[in-house]
Amino acid sequence: MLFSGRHNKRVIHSIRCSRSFRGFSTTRRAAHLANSSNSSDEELHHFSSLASSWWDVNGPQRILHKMNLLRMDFIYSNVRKHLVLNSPGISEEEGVYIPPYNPDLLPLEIRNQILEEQEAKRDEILLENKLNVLDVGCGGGILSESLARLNFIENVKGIDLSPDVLKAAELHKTKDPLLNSSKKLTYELMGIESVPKSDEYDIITMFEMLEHVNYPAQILDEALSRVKVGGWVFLSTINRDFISWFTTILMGEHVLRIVPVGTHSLDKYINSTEIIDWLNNNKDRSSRFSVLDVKGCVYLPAYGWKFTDCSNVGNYMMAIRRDI
Amino acid sequence: MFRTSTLRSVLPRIKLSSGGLYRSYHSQDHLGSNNIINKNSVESRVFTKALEFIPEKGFTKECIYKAVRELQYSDSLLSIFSNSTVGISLEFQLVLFWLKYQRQRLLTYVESNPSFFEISGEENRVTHLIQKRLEFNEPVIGKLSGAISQLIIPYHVDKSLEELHNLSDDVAFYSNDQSNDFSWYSKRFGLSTIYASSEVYMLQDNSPKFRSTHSFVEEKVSNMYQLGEAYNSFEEWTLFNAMSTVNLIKSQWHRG
Amino acid sequence: MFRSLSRQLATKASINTPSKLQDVVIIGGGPAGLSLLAALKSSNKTKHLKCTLVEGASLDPIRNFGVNPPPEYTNRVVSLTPKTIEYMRDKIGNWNFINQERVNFYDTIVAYDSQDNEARIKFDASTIGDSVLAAMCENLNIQSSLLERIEELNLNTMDPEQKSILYDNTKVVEITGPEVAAEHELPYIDPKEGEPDLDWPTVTLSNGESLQARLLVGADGFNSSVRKFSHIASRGWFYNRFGVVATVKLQYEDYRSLAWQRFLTTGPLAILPLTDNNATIVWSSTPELSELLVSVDDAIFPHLVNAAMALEETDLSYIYSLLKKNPSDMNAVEEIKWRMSRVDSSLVDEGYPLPLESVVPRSRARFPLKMAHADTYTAPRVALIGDAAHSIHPLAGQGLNMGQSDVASLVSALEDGVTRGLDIGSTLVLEQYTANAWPSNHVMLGICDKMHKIFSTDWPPIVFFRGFGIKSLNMLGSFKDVIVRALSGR
Repeated sequence: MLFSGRHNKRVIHSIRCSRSFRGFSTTRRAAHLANSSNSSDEELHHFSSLASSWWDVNGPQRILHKMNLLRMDFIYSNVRKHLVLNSPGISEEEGVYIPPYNPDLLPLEIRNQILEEQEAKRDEILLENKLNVLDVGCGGGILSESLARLNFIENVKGIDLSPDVLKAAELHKTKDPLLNSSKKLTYELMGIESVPKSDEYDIITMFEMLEHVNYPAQILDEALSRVKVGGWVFLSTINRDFISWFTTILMGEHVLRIVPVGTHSLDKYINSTEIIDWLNNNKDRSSRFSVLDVKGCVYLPAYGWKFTDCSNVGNYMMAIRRDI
Repeated sequence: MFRTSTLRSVLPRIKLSSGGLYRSYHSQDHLGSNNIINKNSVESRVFTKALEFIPEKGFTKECIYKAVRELQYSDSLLSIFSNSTVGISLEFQLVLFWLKYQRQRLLTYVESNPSFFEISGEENRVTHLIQKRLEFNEPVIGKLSGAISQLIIPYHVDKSLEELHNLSDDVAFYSNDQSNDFSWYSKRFGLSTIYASSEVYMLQDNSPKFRSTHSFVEEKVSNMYQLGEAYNSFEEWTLFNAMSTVNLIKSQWHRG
Repeated sequence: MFRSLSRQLATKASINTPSKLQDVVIIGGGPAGLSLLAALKSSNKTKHLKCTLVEGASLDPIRNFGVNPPPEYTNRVVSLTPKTIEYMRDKIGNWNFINQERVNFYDTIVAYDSQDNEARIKFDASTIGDSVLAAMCENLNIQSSLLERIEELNLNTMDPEQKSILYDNTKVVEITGPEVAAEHELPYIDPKEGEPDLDWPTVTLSNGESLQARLLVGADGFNSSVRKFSHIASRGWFYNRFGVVATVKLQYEDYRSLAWQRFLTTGPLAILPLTDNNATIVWSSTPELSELLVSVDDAIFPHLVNAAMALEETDLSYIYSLLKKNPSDMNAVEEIKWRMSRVDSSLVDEGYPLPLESVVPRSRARFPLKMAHADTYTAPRVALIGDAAHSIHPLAGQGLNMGQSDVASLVSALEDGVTRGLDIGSTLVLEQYTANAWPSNHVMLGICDKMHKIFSTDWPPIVFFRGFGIKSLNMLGSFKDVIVRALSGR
C-alpha cells in the first residue's frame, strides 16, 4: 500500500504538461483536466493538514516512513554494488582482489576478509567522489533527509509543488542540528521541468510520484535528461493490476481509510514492463540508459515492507543508470 | 509487583462509641490514648468489678448484682443498665464488656512489651497475638461456653461479629499488616475465622496449658498465609503474563 | 505550575551554559554501558557518532585493575558464554585487553537436586562439538578491558569531536524532555525566526554541564533513572531470596574444569571454578539464611558450603540453627565433619565438588534477587540496555550475557539506522532493537524464573516429577544439547 505525498503535484503537472506528452501506455486516456482542477482545492487542503502529521512516525504516514527504509536500502545497495572497484589500468598490486568466481566457495575466513576489503574500498571510493541528489516530489522530506545524512552524499535538493509540505520539510530540517548546520539539504518549490538543464545530478529520485502525474513519460524524460553519466534515476510506482487495486484503492482508501478516497486512480498506475519497454523502444534512450534493478515490494503488517521477486505485481522500485 | 505500601498508616481509624465504652480515634503516635474502655465511667467500674466474679458465677446477672453491692452503689443503678439505650440484656452487656476488656488487655500487652515487635515475620506475630488473646480465656474457660451461647443468639450476632472484627483488625494492625485492596478484607475475614474456631477448639482442649490449642492456632495461621501467598503469587504471575503477552505482541507489531 | 516553573529554570540554565549536543549519551559505566560505547566506536558505520558516557562512581578501581590487579579475585565474577566472548573478540575488540590469567574456561556443569541425590544432570559442551561452555571472569576484568579498548580507539581517532568522552564521579542530576504536547503537531514557527527547541532529552550533570542527546541510553541498572524518565514500566517481583557471593579456595586445583550447582529448597548453590585453586560461589537463600552466611566466621564458612553441597536438608537446618545462636560456634564444624563422614564415599570423589579450604576474607556479600522486565526497551530518543531493561535470577549465569546481546542488537539497529540515513534517536531505528532483543530475553527470564520456582519447593509431587524429569533429561542427549546451546549462547 503505497501512499505518498506527492499527490497534489499531479494537478499542476497535468496543466503544465498538457501541451506535449507521451504516455507509457497506449491505453492511457487523455487527461481529465476539468476533474483535476476541481479536486485541487480539496487535495491541497488535505495535504496542508497532512503536513503537520508528516513526521509523526507512528501517525498516518507510518507506512510511508517504513517504506523509506526499503527505498534507502534499494538506493544504497545499488549504488555500492555497481561501483567500479579497480579503475581500468590499475596494477593488480594496488587494486582490490576480486575473485573470478563466487567468493562463497572460499573458506569462510578468507571470504570474509576479501569481502571486507572490497567494502572498505567501496567506502573509500564513495567518500572520494561524493554524490549530489535531486529528490523529485520530496514531500515532507522523508527521503531527502535520509539521503542528506549519508556521508557519501554531497548535497540533496528536494523539490515539490506544494508550499505546505515544503514548509513542513523546512521546519523538520531544523530539528536535526546535523542537517541544519551543514548546508547539504535544500528545498525548493518547483517542478522538475523548471530545474535548469545545466544542473546535472548523480542521483535523481522519483519515489511514489509517477502514478500521480498525468504524463509520467514526460516527467521521466525530464529526469533522464538531468542525470550525469554513471548517475542513477531511482523510481517507484505501482503496477496496474488487481493486487494494486485491492491494496492501494480498496484497502487503503475505502476499508482502512489511510488515504482519502480518490487519492489513487487505477488507470494512472504504470506497469514496470511499460517503463522498460518505453526505454528500450527508443534507440537513443536504450543506448544511453539501462535498467539495472527492478524489485517488487509488499507491505506486511507486523513485518514491514519486504522486497519480492515479482516486479510486475503491486508496488515496485526501479533503478535506471545512465551508461553514456 | 513492587507494591506501594498501604494508606492505612495515614488514615485514623474511627469507631463509634457505645454504652460507656468508647474508642473514637486510634493514634500511632500516642499509643497510650488508644482506650477501648473509659475507665472513669460508673458503668465500666461496675462491669470491671463484675468480671472478677465470672470464674465463679459465669456470665450471669449475678456478677453485676454483686459488683453493684460491693461497690456500694444503689440498686437503682441496675435498672439504668437494663433500661439503657443499648437495649440489650445485662448478661450480653457483660459478655461484650468482657470481650472489649480483653481486647484492651491485648493492646496494653502489645504497647508495654517492646519485645513483641522483635518477633520476626508478620505470620509469627499474628500467631503470638491470637495465642495471647486465647490465654486471657483460661481463667473463665469453664464458663466460656455460656458466653459463646450468648454471642450466637441471632439478634446478638451483629454485635458479636463487630467485636470479632475489631479483634481481627487489631491483631492484623499490630502484626504490621501491609495488605491493601481486596486482601485487606480477606485477611481480616481469615483471622476472624481462625480466632472463632480456635476458641471453640479451646473449649474441648484438655491438654496441659492448652498446648493443642496453641498448635491449632499455629497451623491455621500458617495455612492462611500460605494460601494468601499462593493467591498473591498467582495474581502477580497472571498479571505479569498478561502484560508480557501484550508487550511481546507490541514489540513485534512495531516491526510493521 | 511546577512544570512551567522548572521549565523556566531549565531554560534559564540553558541560556547560561548551552547544552552540549551529543549523538549518544550513555548513562552508566557498567559492563553494558562500556560495551556499548566500545562497540559503537569499533563499528565503521557508527564510529563517527559523538558519544559521552556518564558514570556516578569513580572509574579508578577499574583503571587500577588493568595496571595493578589485586592479588585475590574480587567477588563479582560473571559467566561469559562463547557467544559473548565472540562478540567481544570480533566486534567490540576488548577481548585482547582482558587479563587472560584471570579467566577460567569450563566445559561441564553438574547440577543436582538436594531432595534426590540421584537426580543429576550433566551438561557437557563437547556434546555440541564445542570445547567451552562458558568462561568465568571478574566484572572488573571486563570493565577494565573495555576501558582500555575505548582509550585505544580514542588514540586512533584523529577528529577530536569523534573521541568518546567519559565522565566518572559524575551523577545525573536531572533528565528533562521536550514538551510532550508537540508530539503530534508541528508548531508553525518560521525556521528563520530562530532555532526551535530540539526534542532531544537534556541530561544535567553534577559537574554543572548539561548534555543534549540525540539518543539517551540507560545502562544505569535496576533503578534506572533513564527508564523512569521515559515512563517505561518494569514488571516482575522480588524473590524474597538473597544471593551470597564469595571468593573461596579449594583444597587443591580441580583440573576437570567443572562447575557445580546444587538446588536446595532455599535456592541454588553454585561453585564455579576460577584459575588455580580459586573458585567463586553464588548461594541463593532466604533473607535470614543469607544474613547468617555473611556473618559466620571465615573459619566456618567453607565447611558450611561443603555441607550444603552434600548433606540432607534436615542436617543443614540443624547446623543453621546452631550457627544462628552463635555464628562462631566451632561445634558446628564438628557436626558437619561428623555428618559428612557418613556421606556415601563412592560419591565423594566423582559426585561432589572438591571441598573448600578457605574463604578469602571480606569477599562475602549479599544482594536481593529479583526478576524484572521492562515493558519495552525503547522510547523516542531513549534505549535501555542491561539491568535497566531486565533483572534475572543468577541461577543460569545469564545476566551479563543478556546485557551483551542487548548491546549487539542495539548496535546492529543503529548501524542499520545510519546506513539508511535515519535519525538514530527515532523509534523507526530503535524499535528494531526491541523487536529483536525483547522476546529472547523474555524467554530466558521465564526459564530462570520457572527453574527457581520448581526447585524452591519440597512438596513431594513436584520433587518426584523434577527428579524424574532430570533423570530422563540426562538421558535424552538431543534435548540436552538444546539446553547446552542455550547456555552457551549458540
